[in-house]
Amino acid sequence: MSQDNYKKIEKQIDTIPPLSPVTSQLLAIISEPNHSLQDVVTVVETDAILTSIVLKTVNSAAYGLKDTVETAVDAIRFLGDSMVAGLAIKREKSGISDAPLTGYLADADASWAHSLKTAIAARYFAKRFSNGKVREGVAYTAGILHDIGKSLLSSLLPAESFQSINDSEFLELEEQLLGINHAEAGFMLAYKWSLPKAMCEVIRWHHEPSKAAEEFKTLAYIIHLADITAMMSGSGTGIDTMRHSIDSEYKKFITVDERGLELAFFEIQLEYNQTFKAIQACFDSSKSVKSEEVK
Amino acid sequence: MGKSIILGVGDFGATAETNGILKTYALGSCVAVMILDKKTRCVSMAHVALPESSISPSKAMSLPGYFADTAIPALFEAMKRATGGVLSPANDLIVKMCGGANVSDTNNTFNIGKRNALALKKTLWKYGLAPRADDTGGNFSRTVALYQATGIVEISSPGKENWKI
Repeated sequence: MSQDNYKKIEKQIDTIPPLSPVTSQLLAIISEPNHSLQDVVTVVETDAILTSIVLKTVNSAAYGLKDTVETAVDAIRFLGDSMVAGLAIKREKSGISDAPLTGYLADADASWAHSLKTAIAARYFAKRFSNGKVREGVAYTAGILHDIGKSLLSSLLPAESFQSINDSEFLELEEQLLGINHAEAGFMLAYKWSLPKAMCEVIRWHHEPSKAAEEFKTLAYIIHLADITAMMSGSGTGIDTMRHSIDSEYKKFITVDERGLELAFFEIQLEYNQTFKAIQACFDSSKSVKSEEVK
Repeated sequence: MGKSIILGVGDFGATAETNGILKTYALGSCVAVMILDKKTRCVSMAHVALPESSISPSKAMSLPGYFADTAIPALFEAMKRATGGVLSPANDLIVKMCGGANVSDTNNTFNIGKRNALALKKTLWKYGLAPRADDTGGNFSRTVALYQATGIVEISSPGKENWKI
């Protein structure tokens, strides 16, 4: 890696605010196989702003619930603990899941839309195609976090050079231009944040899942495929959309045929439409959420 | 410039309004299929995500634009609604399509882009139609705008100059 870029990325990582204790705790809890709903509720209830985000989301028109949900425990039961962790990450001051990726020529909402679609696809694949080897909550959270490295590289990418790019693999292009790819940069940040081991592994290897540690390989393949699924179905992150290849060895870890995948695409899209609207409505009406946090 | 109608994944629409624009964003493996009626000057577009409605027949009834086999008849109906019931015969209709990008998968399972484009051609064939302009395949995403006034389709993709079909 060129020494200059390495230093720039290290410097950037130093300026990124750390994850809030509540988000870190939620990520740790979800990584625990035997956690209970109450473990999540207890943490969420210590944070008034997160509680209000969770309640606003569950009561948004997109879900169309007949009765208003009034307690955190009912809201978390409905949304699922991993989606609550996703909301906690979106609320983070670092903007790590929803930063505009201008260096990737992506639209303003592209980063969050891609993270959310990948998370929903990953949870679906874990449930239907992993033969019980990957827990849904872990897959969802890894889907939200997998591309955190892009926000680090975005400002360093020389957008003007894209006019002449050929159809090469985008990961290789990042390495050529910057000496590092977004997966490795994301891993540096994940390590600094002391994220759970599973998250560090899939952030680092989501484009090269065969390199993940044995115990996390199925999860890495799930995020690999969920990431590509999001790009295929219109939720990419700009210039690199569709410019990553599939590691065909996924067949050893994931059981899926053409028809099963097509049904997955359809159901993932419908769930995404609903969830995106619910979360958008909540964050639009809480424009102050992040600034309140900064005070 | 006329009114723009933005279509999301699985949406479809038609306009006969002068200078109307039909637009859809970020086609990956999805295909935008467009029908232009030379006589009525009505144009239509569907953002097709999947080849066959048989994977979810009940939902396909309310969401026909998602599937290649149900999107074409849905476009015909939308065009009739836009013109007060008039749709010209097949030889006065022009079809264009674009999108259907692919990531390389030697298992073929993820080649949905290719399957979408093929399924659309098969469905069009049933109605005596074939695409006059076909910009499908490749490994990049496309945003597409169809202009009623000229029938020109303008395609953009991050990092590329816009092109027309």
